[in-house]
Amino acid sequence: MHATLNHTDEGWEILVLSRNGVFMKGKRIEQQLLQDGHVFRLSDRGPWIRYRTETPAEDPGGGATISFDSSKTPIFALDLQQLDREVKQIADGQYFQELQKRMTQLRSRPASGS
Amino acid sequence: MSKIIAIHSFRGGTGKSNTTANLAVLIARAGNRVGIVDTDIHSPGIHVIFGRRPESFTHTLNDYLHGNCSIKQAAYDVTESSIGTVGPDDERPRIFLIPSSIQVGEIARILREGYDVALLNDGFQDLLRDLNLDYLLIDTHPGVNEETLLSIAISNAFVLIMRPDSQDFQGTAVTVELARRLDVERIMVIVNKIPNSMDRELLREQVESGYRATVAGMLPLCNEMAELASSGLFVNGHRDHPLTLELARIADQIMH
Repeated sequence: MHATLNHTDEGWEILVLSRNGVFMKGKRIEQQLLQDGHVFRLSDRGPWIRYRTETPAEDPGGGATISFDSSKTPIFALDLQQLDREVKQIADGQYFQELQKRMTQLRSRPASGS
Repeated sequence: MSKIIAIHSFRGGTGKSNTTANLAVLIARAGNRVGIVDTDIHSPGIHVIFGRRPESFTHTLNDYLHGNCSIKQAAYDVTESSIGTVGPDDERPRIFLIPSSIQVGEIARILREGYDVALLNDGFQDLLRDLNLDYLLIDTHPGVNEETLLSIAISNAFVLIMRPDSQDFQGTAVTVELARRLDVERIMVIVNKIPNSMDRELLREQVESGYRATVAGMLPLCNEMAELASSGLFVNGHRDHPLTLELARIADQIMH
């Protein structure tokens, strides 16, 4: 279990249980009273969750209790496995390997002259 | 010490050339000698922003890469048109533009024949020395290829421009990681064309945590830039605009 959402007299509160933490505005939190619009992330690489209290303009439908999000700011998902594959494909290539090795030579190589 | 700043984006349409041109002006105005090389040989265009017509170029970067001229011969002093009148003997500020050819035949030739990428690096070093540059801005071709990897590798600061767009987000992450593996001194991300309705701080947080890189600036989508349509330098006609002020903050980070 990563975290719990508990209803208190002051409102909904998130209580972090996991060692991987929950992050808001780049900082790790242990416990936080949530306000409308708060965004937090489960672990530093996990999914983003936005907390909303506003009544949706349209009924999201029975069972769709967490699918409604009227915010105009997208949440970008980074496919880490695809990232690793694409980086590896380029980094394992001959040119990249040679470029890494030759960097010191390229930086110190005398210019051809005008 | 001279610095090479490679300015890149994973996809086209991010506003890279406009951002490069305007940053060059701001850096120059701070009292520097700045060179801009348009290495987007496939689709050159930054010369348009500086108000230069292609027929005014006797030589271009293409000529240098084909061995037909020195790179200094392909450099054009655009100081007066981009900053204003500067004394002819004043060493600073100065802006030099090294354009690429827009002639279809030239573009086709270089695509067909390729060029020695190491010659490009020699050219950059020659420019730094022969023009006594404080900063050399490389306006790269979008996407990852040998030329862009070289520009990334030799840069003192690598600036990545992206839009708040899912297609940009994944590809830009790849480029950041490649730059990291090439031990680039500084990696800076600029998020451009941000609609007013978007939460900038949330965007910044996503980019910084996703890429583990510094977000140097968050540039708004603005009608005035779109209306300018690359016909001139935005920072000159809109000195107090939020976009100009944010570009100035980015320029300051590049210089310090």
